[in-house]
Amino acid sequence: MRLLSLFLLACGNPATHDSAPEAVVPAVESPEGALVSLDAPRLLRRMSIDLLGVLPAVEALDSVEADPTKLALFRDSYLDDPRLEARLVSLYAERWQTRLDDFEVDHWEYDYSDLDEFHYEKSIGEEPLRLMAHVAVHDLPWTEVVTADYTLANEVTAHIWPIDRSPGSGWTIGRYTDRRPAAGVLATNGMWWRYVTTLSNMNRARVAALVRLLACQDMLARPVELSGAVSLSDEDASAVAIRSEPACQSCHAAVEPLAAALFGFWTVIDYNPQENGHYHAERENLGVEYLGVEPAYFGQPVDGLAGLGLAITDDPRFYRCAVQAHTELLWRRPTDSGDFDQLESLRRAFLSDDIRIRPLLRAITDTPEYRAGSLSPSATEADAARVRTVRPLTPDLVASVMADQTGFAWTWEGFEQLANDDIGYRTLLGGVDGYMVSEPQQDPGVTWAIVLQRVAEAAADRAVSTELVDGNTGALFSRVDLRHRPGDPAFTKEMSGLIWRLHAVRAGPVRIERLASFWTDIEALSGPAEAWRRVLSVLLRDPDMVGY
Amino acid sequence: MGSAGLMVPSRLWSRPADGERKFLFIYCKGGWDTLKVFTPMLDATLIDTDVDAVQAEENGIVFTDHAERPAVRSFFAEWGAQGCVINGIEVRSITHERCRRIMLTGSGEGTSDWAVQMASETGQYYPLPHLVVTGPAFSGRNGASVVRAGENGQLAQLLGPDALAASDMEVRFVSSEAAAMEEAFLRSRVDRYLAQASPGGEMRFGELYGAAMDNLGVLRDQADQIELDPGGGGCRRNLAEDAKTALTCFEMGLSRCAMIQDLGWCSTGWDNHANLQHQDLSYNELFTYLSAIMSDLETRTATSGRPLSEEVTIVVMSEMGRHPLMNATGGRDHWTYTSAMMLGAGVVGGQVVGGLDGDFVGHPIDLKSGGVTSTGTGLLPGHLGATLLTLAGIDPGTELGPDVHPIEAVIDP
Repeated sequence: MRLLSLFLLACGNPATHDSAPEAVVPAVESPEGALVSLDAPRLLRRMSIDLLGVLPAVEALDSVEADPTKLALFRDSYLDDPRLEARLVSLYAERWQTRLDDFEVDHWEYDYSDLDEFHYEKSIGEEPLRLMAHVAVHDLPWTEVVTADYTLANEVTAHIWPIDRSPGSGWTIGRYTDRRPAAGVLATNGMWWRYVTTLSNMNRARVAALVRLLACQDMLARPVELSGAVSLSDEDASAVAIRSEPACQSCHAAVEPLAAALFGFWTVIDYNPQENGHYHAERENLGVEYLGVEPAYFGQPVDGLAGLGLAITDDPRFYRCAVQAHTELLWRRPTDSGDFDQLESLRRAFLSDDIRIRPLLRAITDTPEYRAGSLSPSATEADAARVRTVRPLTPDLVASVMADQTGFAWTWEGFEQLANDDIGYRTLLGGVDGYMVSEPQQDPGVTWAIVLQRVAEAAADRAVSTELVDGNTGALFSRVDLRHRPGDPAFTKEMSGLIWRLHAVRAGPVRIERLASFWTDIEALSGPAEAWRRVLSVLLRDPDMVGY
Repeated sequence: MGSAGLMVPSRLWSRPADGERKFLFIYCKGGWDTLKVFTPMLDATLIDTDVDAVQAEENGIVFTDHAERPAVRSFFAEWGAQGCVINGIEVRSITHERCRRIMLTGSGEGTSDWAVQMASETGQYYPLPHLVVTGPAFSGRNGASVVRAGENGQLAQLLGPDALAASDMEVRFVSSEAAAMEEAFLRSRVDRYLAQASPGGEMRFGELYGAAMDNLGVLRDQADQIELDPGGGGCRRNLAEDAKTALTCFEMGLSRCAMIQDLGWCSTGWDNHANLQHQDLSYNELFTYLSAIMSDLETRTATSGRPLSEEVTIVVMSEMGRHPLMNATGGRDHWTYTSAMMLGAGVVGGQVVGGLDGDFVGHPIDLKSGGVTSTGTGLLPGHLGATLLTLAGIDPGTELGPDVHPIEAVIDP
């Protein structure tokens, strides 16, 4: 409650850019002193983008501009919006990095054509993400992520894997039919097709991924201290050392029993659809034989994969990690020890809210750091280095925002061009590919700028051609047609309306005049349709558009 | 301490010294078998080695010679005097992703890699500070310094006139002159955004957006002189062509660092858990390309007027080594010790630094002399990084802390 009231206090009125004479109420300093909140419309815009992947409706902007206390109501409506689920998939993809461009089993193994390749790969990578997003938006306890006896399946995954899927198009509840245990994402092929192992690695790399993603503990960050007493080149001696040498045991005492619980997914033939697509219940006990240990989770014996999932839910780190992960995704930065108090507060709220994600998201969007739009004069160098007061649109967001506003979706030969790197531009626009690029780019760069330019050009063309040239109803142009000229009241209103809709900023007269002048120059060169295309393209690339 | 004045990246446009050293990274993806070339251990009883291999020396470089890899000998015979092999670098992991990160950053955490650190030193002065032709880059907080060409020529496509032709939805823009006007208008708008930006993120965002547009403009102007899409997949991939792109950018003063990735013979990768003979093919191909790259470098002139070869350091590395014993499938599994090779400007050539014992574990070395000594320092990727940073004129202590020192034996004073 205290957070919410502070939150409302901190929401000022909208800034006016390029219009100093019209400057309105300045944003209010946060209670912590270092952070200054965005004004209410810009904060609403951030929330809409983060939670739905689209810009807020103009009516919502008008509403919070007039009454900033309504912001919380809109935010809550976003949390109830069906679009939240797909947005969470995008956010989880950034962290879980399962949306690869290639998997060990290729699409043609299932008679898919090259035109189906992208959909095939995306479907595989999204399986665990869809399950988590499903848990989140249905207010199920987060423990379902590792205990669910179902998965989410679409037409592709139900076709290639042994899944009985509920009727319906797109992602629906499904159940594997190959006797795999109930263990949520731990029992999804999508998870283990991303995090593969080898015959000799015997699931150890998978353990590292599992512990990092679910307990936020990076086992691989621990240096391997070799005593020299063991001959690493002697495989048998190494195996003994793993179970007896203190330096090895410091990690492997936990790794081996965890790895032993994953042998149902251990494969002995590479690149084989049958081998990789099915769970192998008959191999569950091989861990004991090969690793010499019983399955366990950090010392607690577990009954196979299902027992592992249950043991994870007994680990306090699982809940702390869920809070940390969601906070980092919305704060757009890694957390550190300096965030302990805030994370602890969120964790307590998460537990008291029955470990549901939507209340957690609500709480995170109430934090001063989430709301921050700038730093106050009292901010420290550390604040400046850590806090993301402006966040660039990620490739997923560029795609969804542009599609929502203009109808343009950049696809080619079956590929979503902002969601792949085979022939597309995901990493060039700052995204992660889950393999060679594992951190989203947080600053504008050369390739970010060129991809953005091309997307904006195409999106602007789509909107102008559809709405102004062909005369169809669309989202952007409601006041003008190609006969209007600068000086017409409708022209001015349309221009300021576009800026309000796209940027959540009230444009002053100077800015409108500049845009009108630019429009006039282009119109003289190439006509009114091109002039609107270029104006809209500029607005779609504006810093206030692509930063949020 | 207040924030005023802290928010402007202090090195956003700092001018580098004339003749500043540039770095070409060649990353061999998958983990190379150092026994095939860099670490001849033919007498070690606990290590499986090639039956017909012999230890050889050319220009001070001791290496494993084999009839299946003639390009290795040829390379060292011609270029060994400019090269330094560093053996026994302990990566302390055996997973590809983690090793890649550690080898390139010295850390498992979210730091920038060596190339990005060096490219970021002069901020956005270079239009393409770190050009990733192919391969990995860990940008950390310096994402603006990384320019990815795309694995399949995407940057070249985006710069071309038909960039939007590859779209299922038809896109109609009629005037290139209007496009230029749009760029100019947006650039001035970014300046106005910056002028009104609040301290912190807005200011950083505006500055870097403006720099990105400026650098994109430079790239557009020069694009016809750079082959940003060397092209070719599988057996048609040519590392020397990829390097040509990087060297051209160095020559034109567009980049300080570049990364190219070697995918091994016919792009089958270096991760040979089976079919270890692929390592022979991969090494032979790699050294053939390295010879071509060195020859290419010799022909170029830097913007300073000096031969480009006097300003470019080449680093050849892989994320891990391979196990000293063959596995049951005719390959080698992962190993925590690997090697790297540095070539060219600033490098004391004709020497091998470091070594491994009979268990294939790295010996400690004296960082000054490079000699093996029991009281020395075990080599880690951080030492390679400190060496590179020193060659780049950057105090490694600032980036890596006071305990990680460069391998002085490698650095030509």
